[in-house]
Amino acid sequence: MGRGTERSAASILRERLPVHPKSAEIVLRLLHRRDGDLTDLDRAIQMDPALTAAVLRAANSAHLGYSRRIAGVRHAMVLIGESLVASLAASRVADLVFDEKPPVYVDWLWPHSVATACGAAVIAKRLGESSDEAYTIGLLHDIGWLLAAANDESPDGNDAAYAMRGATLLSRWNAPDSVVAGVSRHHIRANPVTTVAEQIIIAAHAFAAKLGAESPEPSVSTVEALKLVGIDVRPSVIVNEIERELVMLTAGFTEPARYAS
Amino acid sequence: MTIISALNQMHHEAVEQIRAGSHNEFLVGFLTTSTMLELSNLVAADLDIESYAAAAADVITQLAPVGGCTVRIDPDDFPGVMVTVGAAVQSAAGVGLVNGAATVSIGDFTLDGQATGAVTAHDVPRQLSDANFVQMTANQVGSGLVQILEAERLRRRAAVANTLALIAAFNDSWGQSDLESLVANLCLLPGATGATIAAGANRLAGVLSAEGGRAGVAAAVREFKVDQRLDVSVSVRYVAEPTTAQNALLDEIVDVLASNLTRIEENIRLAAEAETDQLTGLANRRRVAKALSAARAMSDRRNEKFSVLLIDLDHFKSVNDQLGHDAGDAVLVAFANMLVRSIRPFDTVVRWGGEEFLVICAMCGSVEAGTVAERIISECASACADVLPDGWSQTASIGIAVYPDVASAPEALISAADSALYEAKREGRNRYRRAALALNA
Repeated sequence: MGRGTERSAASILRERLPVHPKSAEIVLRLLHRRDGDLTDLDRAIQMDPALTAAVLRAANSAHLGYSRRIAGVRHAMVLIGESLVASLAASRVADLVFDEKPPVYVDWLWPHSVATACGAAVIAKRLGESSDEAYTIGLLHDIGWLLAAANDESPDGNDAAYAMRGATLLSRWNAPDSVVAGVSRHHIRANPVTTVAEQIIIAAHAFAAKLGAESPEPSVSTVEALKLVGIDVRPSVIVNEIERELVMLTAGFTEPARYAS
Repeated sequence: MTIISALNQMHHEAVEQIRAGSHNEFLVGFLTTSTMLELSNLVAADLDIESYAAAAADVITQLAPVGGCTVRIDPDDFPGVMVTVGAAVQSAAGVGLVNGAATVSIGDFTLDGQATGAVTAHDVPRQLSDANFVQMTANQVGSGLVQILEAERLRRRAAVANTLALIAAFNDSWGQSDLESLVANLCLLPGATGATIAAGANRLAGVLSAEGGRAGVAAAVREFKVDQRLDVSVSVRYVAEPTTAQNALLDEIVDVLASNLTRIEENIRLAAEAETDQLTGLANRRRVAKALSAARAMSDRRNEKFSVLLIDLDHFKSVNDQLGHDAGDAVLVAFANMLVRSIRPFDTVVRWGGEEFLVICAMCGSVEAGTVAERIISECASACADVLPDGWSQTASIGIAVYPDVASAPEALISAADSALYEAKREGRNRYRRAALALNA
């Protein structure tokens, strides 16, 4: 083997984000199916920050060499193909299943991320902006917290530090600049230089809180949020639309899984 | 119940569910299978042992639940007899090395390939490091490699079919481009050199044999020897009685090969000579366009840079004028030999003309190109000292242009290197300069 070729991939253990148990359960259920039907896989990934980040990372890796960075998870899944998406999902789920002491998934984090994502998509659609990108930013905006959970750190409540940590990770994974910026600045107060994408995430944050999916980070009121993004409807209209998105996203996933084949 | 409380309930139920579940076994099977499938897809797209190793390490680390991964592939003796795969998985605690191996030997490959691969994973979760898993991984690596080789074999067979079609269509009006496509088909590995022509021909022989051997009928053995001159000979050996149809096919192939090989050989030699500088044995300007487009294609595929170094021997005219042209030629040869020693096998050195040389360094950015240039400059004097009388010393100036930072068109790249060379000359020679970055880069 003297003249053999040797390559090492760097250790990325500390950057592994835990998959939410619900998405893990769905992925396991799908992999159990003998018929190979992966219809629900995309929703399982869209519901989960860690899986979404992993898929985006794969689609944006230099390996595939697409010139444009990809922000939408559905677009990413089309690019890298169903079988690789399934492998990626399985490997992330494996982390959870094989870990002797799975990381604690902070209770507020998942409903909050999913609700913010749906909120961002609804608001972006009304503004004529990319709802896929807004959804991604909404879903990933708190992955700094997730990273802390993965490393067994107790939360210290420093919003800005978590935001920066999540943004740094996404930037290292070649996420588009708009996503990195949205994640790093989601907690700030709106100011004249806030971009539309950042306004959307700030507003979505407010609606997630209104729906009952709060995070420890403070948010503006829904009235202020709508004024910020310039949408002239009553907040309850938006709340209804977000609830409808959430129901569609999670439809059929409410039953507990059974693994007997 | 609101949707958010439904989400919260889902959250809590799922946390319980996942803790109670026991699905490790099937998950491991799925993981290893899909990982290896993915690897074989990667490789089928473009076989290149080095990038395969890199991609394999990358994919395993991303897909399998391991902290890091090393992939070793031994590209030596690629044409050979069987496929042997060893896989070793080190336990997370580092307690010891557990070994599992799978040996796969397939009729089709008996003349087509021997590949030895080892996959070593670091930081494997404890549950994955038991003997079953190791064995399973070894088997999966084995079948993954088999798939890879199968894809490669199909690729080669297609190339061989093309080659045979080309040979059959051979006639005296064959031009350079026909010859090039023949050589390209012969050289099934990247980087066309004499050695790969031989390797390609050997593989042609191998596949011919495999075709016969698989049917248990006959083997055609063909020797293709390449040294300074190309020597080509064909011999055929039947190991069993072929059927009439197979016999006819083999005879046809061998007839066509035999009747055309001499002329093909001559054409190959002429093509090689036409692209070789007689004095230094380096490639000449005719090779540049091809080498640049190959470097460019490789860079684009890997998303990496490559560099062009234009080198000029300082005050060379005075060597020729005062010591004579023989001494001048000796300096050129000594310098050319030093250049060939200084670069990597997949780089290209060209005698650009007179006392100018061009080096194309693949996968080489601005910093690395500077290192190469420094090495050339520092070794120039000692390389030429042997052939120069006392009191004479030879220096060189170099201009560097990096693709795609400086320019992307080949002519623009060379002319940028030329400007940088001029700058190096103007600033006192015996140094290198980099071309300025393009404004739109």
